[in-house]
Amino acid sequence: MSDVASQFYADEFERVESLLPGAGNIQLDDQRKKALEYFLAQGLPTTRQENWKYTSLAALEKKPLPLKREQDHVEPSLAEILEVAVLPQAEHRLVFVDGRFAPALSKHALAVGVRAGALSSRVADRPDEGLPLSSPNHCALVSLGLALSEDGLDLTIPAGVSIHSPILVMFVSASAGHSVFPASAIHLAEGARVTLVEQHIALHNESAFAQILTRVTLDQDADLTHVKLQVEGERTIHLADTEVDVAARAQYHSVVLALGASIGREDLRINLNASGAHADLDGAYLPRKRMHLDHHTTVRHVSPNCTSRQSYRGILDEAGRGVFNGRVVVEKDAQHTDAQQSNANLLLSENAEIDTKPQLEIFADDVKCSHGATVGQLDPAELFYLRSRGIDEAAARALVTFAFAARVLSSLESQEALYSSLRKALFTHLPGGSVLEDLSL
Amino acid sequence: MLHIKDLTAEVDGKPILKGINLTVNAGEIHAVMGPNGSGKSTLASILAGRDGYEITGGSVMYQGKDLLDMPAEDRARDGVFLAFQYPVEIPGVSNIYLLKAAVNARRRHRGMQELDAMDFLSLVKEKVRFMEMDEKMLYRAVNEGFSGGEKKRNEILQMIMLEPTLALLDETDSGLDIDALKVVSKGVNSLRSPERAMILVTHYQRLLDYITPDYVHVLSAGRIIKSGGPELALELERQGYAWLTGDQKDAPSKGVAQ
Repeated sequence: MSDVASQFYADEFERVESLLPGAGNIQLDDQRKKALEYFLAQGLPTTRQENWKYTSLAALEKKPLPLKREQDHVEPSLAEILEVAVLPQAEHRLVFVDGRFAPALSKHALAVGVRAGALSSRVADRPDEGLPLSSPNHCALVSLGLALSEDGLDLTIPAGVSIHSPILVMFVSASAGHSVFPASAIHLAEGARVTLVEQHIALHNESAFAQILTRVTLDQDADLTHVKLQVEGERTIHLADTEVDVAARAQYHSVVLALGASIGREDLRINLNASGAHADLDGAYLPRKRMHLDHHTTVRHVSPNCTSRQSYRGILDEAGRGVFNGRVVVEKDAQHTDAQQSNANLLLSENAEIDTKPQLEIFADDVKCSHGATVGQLDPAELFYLRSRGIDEAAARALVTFAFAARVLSSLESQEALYSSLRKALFTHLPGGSVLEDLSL
Repeated sequence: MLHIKDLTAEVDGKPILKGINLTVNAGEIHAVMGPNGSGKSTLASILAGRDGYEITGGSVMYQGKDLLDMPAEDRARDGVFLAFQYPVEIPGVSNIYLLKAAVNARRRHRGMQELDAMDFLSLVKEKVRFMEMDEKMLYRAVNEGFSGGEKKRNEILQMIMLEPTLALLDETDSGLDIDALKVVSKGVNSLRSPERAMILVTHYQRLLDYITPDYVHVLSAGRIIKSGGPELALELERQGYAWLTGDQKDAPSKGVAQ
C-alpha cells in the first residue's frame, strides 16, 4: 500500500468505522472490513487498466478528500434546495446532504407499503441483513464505497403498486472538500412501476468527491424509469456504479444526463436475467472547458427473448473530453436477443475529443444485434435553413445542438413536467444555450 | 424593390452567373426560367444569403440597402424569404418551434410585439388548415420524414406565416403531384399583394398555369437571354429552350410535354 489515497482512506475508515450505521454488528463490520481490504489491495484504478484507459484518477490519487465530520455539517435551507431542484414541484422528494439523508428537506406521500427513505435506518435496524448492495463485480471503487458508505436511498415498491408522479431524489454536496459515498438499494416488486429522478448537484464550485453505488432489482413485470441528472460542480469528481437486475418482462429505462463535474464516470451494468426483460438506455454527455465525462455500459443478455436499446449522444466543446464504451454480451442461452446500440457525437471544437468503443460479445447464434458510432460537426445546411428563417447564427447553432442532444429525452415526452424540466437543464448547459430561452414555446 | 445589376458569381472558381440584370418592383411576379445548370437556383440562393458563392462583381440593392452585405438572418427579418428546392430536415426541432421563432424574430425586427402563445397557435392552425395540412405536422420535427409534397407545402406554410416582402420560390413545383401543386399555388396566390414581390424559379411552365407571372425571364449559361410577358413561358413550353439557347439538349423532351 504505497499510494497516498489508499493510506488516506484506510485512516478515514479507522476514524469513522464505529460511526457507520449498524456498526458493532460483527457481520456488518466484517463486510465493511473485507471491502476495505479489497480496495487497499487493488488501489484506485489507473489508466493501465483497460477499463480506465481513458480516464485518469490521478487528481484523486494526489489529493484524496476526507469524509465530513459532524461538526462541519451545515444544512442548506429548504428554499436553497427548491431553488436548484430539477422538479421543485415534485410530490415526493428525498434529499441527501453530503451523503446523509436530510428528513427536514424531504417529504413524501407514498402509498402504504412503499418504503422510501434512508438506507442507514434500514441497516441500523436490521444489521444482520448486511448491506443490501452485494455485487459479484469486484471493483476497487465499489469496495471503497461499500466500506465507507454512511447512507443512501432505500426504495422498495411493493407488488402491483404504480406510483404516478415521479420521486425526486437529490444528492446535494453542500460543504466543499469532502468525499461522499452514497449507496442506494432500489427494489421494485412484481408489477410495480415508478419514475425515479436522481439529481446530483453541488452548491459550491470547490473540490469534492462522490463515489456512488446503486443496486436495482426489478422483479417480473416491474417497470422503472430511472433518470439521472448529474449537474455537479466544476471541481467535483463524480464516479457512479450502477447495477440492475431485470426479471421476466420487466423494463428498465435509463436516462442519464451528464452535464457537470470535472471528471464524471458512469458505470452502468444491466443484467437481463429472464425472458422478455427489456432495457432502454439513453444518455447525453456535454463535456466543455476541461471536463472529462466517461460512460461505460454493459448490457448482459442472460436469457432468451430479451431486448435492449442504447442511444448515447455526446456534445463536446472547448477542451472537453468524452469516453463511451458500450458493451453488449449475449450469453450462450440468450437466443432471440434483440440488442441495439448507437453512439453519436458532435464535436464543436478542435480541442474536444471523444473515444468511443462499441463492444459486442455474442455467444448465441440466433440473435439480432447492431451497433454504430458516429462523430460529426454541425450541418451547414441545417444552419442555413434556420438562418434563412430569421434565426441568428448563434441561436441556429444552439438550436441544432440542442435538438441533437434532446433526442435522448424523447422517451419521457409523455411526462410533461419532467420532460420540460430536463430540456431546460439540457439547454442551460449547452454551448450558447442561453439564447434558446427566448425561443421556448 | 430589388435591383440586380451586372451580378457575377462563381462556385469553386467556376463562373455561374455572368452578369445578371433584373429589376423587380413591388406587386410584381417574375418567373425565371431556364434549362438545368443555367444558374437559376444559384441566383435564388445568392439572394437569400447562402454561403459558398463567391460574388465577383455587380450589386444587389433591396429596398435601398446592399443586400449582399447582409447576413442571411437579417435578410429574412427584412422580408426576404426563400422557399427551398430541397427543404432541409432538422431532427429534434419541431415545426411549431421553428415557426414561432421565425415569426417572432421578424416581428421584433419590425418593432412589433411578439405573438403570445395563444395568438400564435390560433394563427398557425388557421394557416395549416388553409394549406390543407394535418395539424399534427406542427409537432413533428422540421421536414423529418415528410414526403416531397409535404415538404413543399411546409415551405409555403412558413412563407404565409412570415408574410415576406420578397418571396423567392426555388423550383417549388418540382416533385409535386397535381393536387399538391394546386394547394401550393393557392398558398402563393394568397400572398399576392401590391406591397409584395415574388420571383418564381422554375424549369417548367406547369406552375405558371396556376400562378400567372407579370414577367418571364429566360436564364441561360448565367445570363438573362430573353424577357417577356406570360406568353414567353407558353412559347418555351411549345418549343423548348433550344429555340433560344441553340442547344439541342434543351429541346422539348417527353418529360416536359404534358
